[in-house]
Amino acid sequence: MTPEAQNEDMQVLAGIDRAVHEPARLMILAYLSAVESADFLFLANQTGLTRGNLSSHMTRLEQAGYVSIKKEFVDRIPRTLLRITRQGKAALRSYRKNMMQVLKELPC
Amino acid sequence: MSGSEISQVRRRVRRAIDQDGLFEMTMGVIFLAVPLLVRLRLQSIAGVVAVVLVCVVLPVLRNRVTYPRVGYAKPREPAFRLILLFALGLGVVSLGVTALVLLVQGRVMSRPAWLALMPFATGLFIAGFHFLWGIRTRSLRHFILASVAAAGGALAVLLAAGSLDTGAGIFFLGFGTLELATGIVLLTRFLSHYPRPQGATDDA
Repeated sequence: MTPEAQNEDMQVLAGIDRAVHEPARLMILAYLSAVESADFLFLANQTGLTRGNLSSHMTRLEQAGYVSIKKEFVDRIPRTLLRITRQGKAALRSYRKNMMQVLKELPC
Repeated sequence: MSGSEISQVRRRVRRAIDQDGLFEMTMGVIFLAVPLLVRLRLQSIAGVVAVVLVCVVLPVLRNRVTYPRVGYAKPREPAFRLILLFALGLGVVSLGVTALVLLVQGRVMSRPAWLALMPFATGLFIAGFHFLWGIRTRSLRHFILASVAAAGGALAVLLAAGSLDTGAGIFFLGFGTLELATGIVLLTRFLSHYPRPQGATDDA
């Protein structure tokens, strides 16, 4: 591979979606991509994130339009349901593709 | 995220909900109710009882017991049409294996012989569902319950010596007790492992 071509691959890194790239957010999106919906407590238990941490990452993902948040009451107990949006799925796919491209060319 | 990683996450989600033992308890109650309803000549409502327990009572129990402790997640499940097709396919396979047994015995045209082997066919049918759930959750207990259901059906036929009522009674009482006991053990473990969180669980 020519240095120019390698440089082009590394350029992809600059375009990596930072909303997805952060490990905790990537973990949240990965879980949400595997389910139809999940609540706050389930994600906190599965990811091991603290409530405050999870809450701030959820807000960031919601602002990016990758996650939709719906609040409801079940047996008078509040439940916050999270769902990955179509935009979120596309962002996760594109992130995966970009990272694969970069990592494939990295010398070990 | 690769397909296999997503499958692993899906499996973890199913296992998180499946560990409460409530499904086994519900199935145990249904199986134990079948001989009782037949005895009371109320077998026609057995289906209604099963639907009410699975579709109404089980979700209510999960809302009160499971989700406040481990959280709620709705796994991506196949369409209802696929589940129905699987059940029909399993029914055909169970009856096919039963027909094969009768063919070997040379009694494939005998109605009493078919009726006597119904607990065997039912055991295979239930085993198929537990086997599928074992694959979907990778839980050893579902594979064990599948094996016991298949073997239990055959054993009930042998013990009943040709009587459908006795065979079905033995199978449903035996397997129902096992399912109920499994569910109670799992629920006890679940409740001690996941005490109900104090205060608010919803900080979002």
